[in-house]
Amino acid sequence: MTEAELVQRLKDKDPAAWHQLVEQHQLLVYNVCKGFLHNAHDAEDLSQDIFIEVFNNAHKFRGDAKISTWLYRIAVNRSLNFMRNSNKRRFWKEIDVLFGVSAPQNTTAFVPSIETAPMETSEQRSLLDKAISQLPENQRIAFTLNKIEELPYAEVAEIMELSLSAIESLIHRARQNLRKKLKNYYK
Amino acid sequence: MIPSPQENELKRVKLKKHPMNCEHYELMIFDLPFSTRAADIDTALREHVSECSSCRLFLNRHLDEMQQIDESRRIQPNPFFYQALLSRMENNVATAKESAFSGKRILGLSPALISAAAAIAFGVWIGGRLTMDIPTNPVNTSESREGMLSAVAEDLHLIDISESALETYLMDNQNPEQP
Repeated sequence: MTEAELVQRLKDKDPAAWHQLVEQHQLLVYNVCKGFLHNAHDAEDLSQDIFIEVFNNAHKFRGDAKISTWLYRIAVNRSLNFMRNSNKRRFWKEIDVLFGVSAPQNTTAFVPSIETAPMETSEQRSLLDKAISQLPENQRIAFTLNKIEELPYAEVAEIMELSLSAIESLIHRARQNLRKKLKNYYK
Repeated sequence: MIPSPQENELKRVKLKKHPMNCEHYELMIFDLPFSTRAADIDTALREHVSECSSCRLFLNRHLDEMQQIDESRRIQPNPFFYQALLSRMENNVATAKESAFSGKRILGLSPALISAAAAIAFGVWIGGRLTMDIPTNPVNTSESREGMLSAVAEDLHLIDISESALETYLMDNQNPEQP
């Protein structure tokens, strides 16, 4: 089945096409989510949400990009939204703690739900991983897609809806920032 | 103009030996894809790190960190993912039907909405407290008049508590010095 046929059958809500899409792209979606959220349980949940969104919005796919590009775009945006919502939830939790509604918790930044996840999902994050998380949002996305997902600049540009030169600049600045952050730890 | 092999070699040696170029190589290290292993490293970088211990340490640490991230990625699809996805979709449909217009859904919209509701409730409570002391029923005048008469009669040690008896007493005991 070609990609165009797959897209058409997805728009027709064909269960077989849907199954094929999930099987072919679940790793891609999961790994992008995991790369941003650093938690297997959250990444698994979010991946399922993303496929449900794709199923419900397949008719909106214009077909002018690859399915994988579309999925990358949704996965990146949903992961960032998840992190923002987690930070909002943390803010309201801190307000509750301030007024004595709930017990205080040790939260300093976006904290994935490690405490509720199974043992194998609560990995120790590497220094590099933490340094990447601290990059400005666009640098982080561009660097992650290019260096971890190993996508070419052109595809990163398409996913982020930016020019090629903007992507080059973002990745260059990301490398400089990472070098500054990690220089003392590496030497 | 294409540089000759001798010029290239000279340039490479200069780049390799100049300490200022470590920054260039460090940036080059951050340009490596995360699946890179020691064997895949570019020749120029490999030659530089073979002579520069600082960059060698930098590269080795970075390779370790990259490997750690790369190995944390899932490489095999989850065989239960599709089934879990279908169950989730069924649950979502069932939940959506159940909680279509429930109060829980409205309350779950935003903390701001809850705060607004709490502020309104607090306002109503304060308003209620402020207006609570204002008497709403008219005073029964006949009862209060009788009560007052009996109280005055008791103070003056009068047996008869009628209005006329009180008037007589007050006239009899009027102070002549007062106007």
